[in-house]
Amino acid sequence: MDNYRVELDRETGLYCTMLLFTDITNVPEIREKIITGELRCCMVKASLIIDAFQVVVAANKAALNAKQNRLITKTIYTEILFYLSTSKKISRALTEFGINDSDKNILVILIHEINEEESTLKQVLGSIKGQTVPISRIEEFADVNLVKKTYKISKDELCISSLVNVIVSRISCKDFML
Amino acid sequence: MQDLELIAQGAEARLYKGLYLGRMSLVKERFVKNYRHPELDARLTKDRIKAEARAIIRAKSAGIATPALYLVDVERRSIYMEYVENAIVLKDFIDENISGKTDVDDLVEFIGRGLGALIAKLHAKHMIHGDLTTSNILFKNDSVESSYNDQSEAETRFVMIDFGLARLDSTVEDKAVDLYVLERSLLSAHSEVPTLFSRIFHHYQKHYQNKSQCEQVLAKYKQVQARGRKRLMIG
Repeated sequence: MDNYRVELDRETGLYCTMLLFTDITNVPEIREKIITGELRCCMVKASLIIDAFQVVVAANKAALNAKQNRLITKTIYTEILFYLSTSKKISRALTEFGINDSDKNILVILIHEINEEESTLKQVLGSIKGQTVPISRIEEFADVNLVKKTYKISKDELCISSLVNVIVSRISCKDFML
Repeated sequence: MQDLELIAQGAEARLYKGLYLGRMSLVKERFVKNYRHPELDARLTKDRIKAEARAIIRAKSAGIATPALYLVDVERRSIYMEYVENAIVLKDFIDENISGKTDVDDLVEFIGRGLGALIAKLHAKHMIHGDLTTSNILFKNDSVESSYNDQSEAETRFVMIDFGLARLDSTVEDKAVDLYVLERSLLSAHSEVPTLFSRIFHHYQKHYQNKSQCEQVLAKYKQVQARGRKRLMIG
């Protein structure tokens, strides 16, 4: 399997599992299922993710907010999209990082307890018609210039820090920047 | 959190090291101060954690290497950040490689060039660090023995840490005091390297983009030097 799992903050007792899909043929159908809540997961445009850790930091924040009963958005999965974005507007964040019907490459993010991994994976795998790819290849699907533009990252900043470090730092401070 | 190992403790916070989200991380926890009123303590701690995180982000966007932030948790009074690998505190580096040695002019010049340029960048964006000492700067030892003449090299080898006393909208006075604090700390920590501050100061002026603003800082600095860090309180 090409899934990739990381333990989130221990206080949450949750894990984050990611799956990268390419050449998905039934995006409109999947999108519908996510919106109605039939499919419980988070789907992100692969073009905006340069490293799995970018998602891990956002998912960790979302999981902690859920645990502490202070979600800003409706579900833990929309919360991930919200934290990935630098926008304060929820709708903007969801359209920015959430999938469109025209997207082909998608990163699926699941948040679960340790013993739920198989069951959550099963429901997702059953609904998506596409090819899975190892997460280690995520960079190939990223549009680096678009990522830099989305996070408003200057050249000066990249001289001293890697792109992923700059991004996760912004995500961590989203609550109180600006 | 489990698996965290206490590595240092100061007056305001404890530092722990351990794996977090699969990465080697450093956790800075501002502990509860029992002598303060609990509500005041919570308020102060929250504000300081946020201010510190903001300063780290702003310094990063100004082109100064700082640790990456992984989580800022005001409830747990902690900032989770990157543990900078293969780096040593600049103070130790100077003690080991410069103090008491001869033929170290190139190295002193290298440190002066790096720090001078970085502090100038910080000040040009109206930020001050607030506690510039060689203990609050890390020196990255990872690259192979490289030339000490390269400017970009000089700026990328230093990582600024501990922005606990940093300010974002600082005045000319703040900047002058920032330099003065550095001068005094070098004087006491590295009295064997007397030229260090003058090299830093030289490159600070050279790299400060806005020359008229730099002049103002210099003029103020002379005043501060004459009177000390604190303003005179008369009347």
